[in-house]
Amino acid sequence: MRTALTTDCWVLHLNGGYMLAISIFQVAELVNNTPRLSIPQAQPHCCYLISWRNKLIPLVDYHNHSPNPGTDIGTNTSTDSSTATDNIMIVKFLGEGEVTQYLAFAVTSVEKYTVNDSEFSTPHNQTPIPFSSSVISAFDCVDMNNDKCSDKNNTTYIIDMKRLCSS
Amino acid sequence: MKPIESIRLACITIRTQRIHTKSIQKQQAPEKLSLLLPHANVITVELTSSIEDRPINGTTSISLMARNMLWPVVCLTPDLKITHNVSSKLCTQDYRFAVCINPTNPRYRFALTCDQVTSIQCDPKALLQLPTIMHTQQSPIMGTFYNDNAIHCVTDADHLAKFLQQHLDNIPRTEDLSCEPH
Repeated sequence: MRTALTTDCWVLHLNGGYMLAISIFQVAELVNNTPRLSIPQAQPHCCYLISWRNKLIPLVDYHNHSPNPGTDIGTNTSTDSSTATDNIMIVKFLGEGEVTQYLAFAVTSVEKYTVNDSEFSTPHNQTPIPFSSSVISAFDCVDMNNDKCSDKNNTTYIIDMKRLCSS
Repeated sequence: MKPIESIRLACITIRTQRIHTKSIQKQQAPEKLSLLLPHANVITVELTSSIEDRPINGTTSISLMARNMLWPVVCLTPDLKITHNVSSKLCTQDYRFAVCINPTNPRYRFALTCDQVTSIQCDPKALLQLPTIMHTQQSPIMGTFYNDNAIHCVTDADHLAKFLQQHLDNIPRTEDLSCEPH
């Protein structure tokens, strides 16, 4: 009898509609309403730092991006305000020199998820994504609410945090 | 073991003003920017009442005279966007000070309007490099300093001049630009 190998992860529903999966061991903390420290002329998706446990951590927020080409949320202020939230997931990973580094993501929600290893696939670049150069793998996240009618893109990406930080 | 000496930096505070409202597109734009520069980059701090409109070659530019030199005036928003078409009257109404900043190439010297100029002391170890993920080619911000729940952006005269170069090149001048401050 063969048993399917599974991996437990957290799925982050990012501002802007993208989905990322991270290892359960990468979760540092989920924080709310942390003051954003603005850095002028920085990358549009990473123009704030947050102060967390005596560290300054870059905040990645894709609320001005959209998964669907031609519908950049940044051009639509009404959508903009309704999708952006103040929930922030702080993720830890090993950076240069095996030093623990942290990166914060603005999220609308997070959910625990178990994925069968056979579901992992090489993502098809049908939709431009802002972190495409950092993608390692992907899988289709089944909607927990079993909303079959939903035509939402459920591709969930696994990314190399170290690469994202250095890009 | 020799203790690490703290360093003093000039701290320039720029707040959102009435004249910025046209330039600010996003509602999330910051209300305040605190820039840290080496003291040696700041030549003098003048009151904005010294700013004058000067017609040069058919166009009007705003500048101030300090240390026997003319300093083109630059107004920036807290998100480092240049405010164009500003008159000396608006500068005087909205800002208190103009900081005369002198980069290595004096051709790109300028006076930056601001609300406050102070001097702060900090441990060099507390000055952090800007994370790579935040870098952009045009940004003059080199690092950050976090103190008293406030973020300060570290830069210097050369980086600011490079950032403003195109704008400064378009400002008409009447004087010999090779002179240096004493």
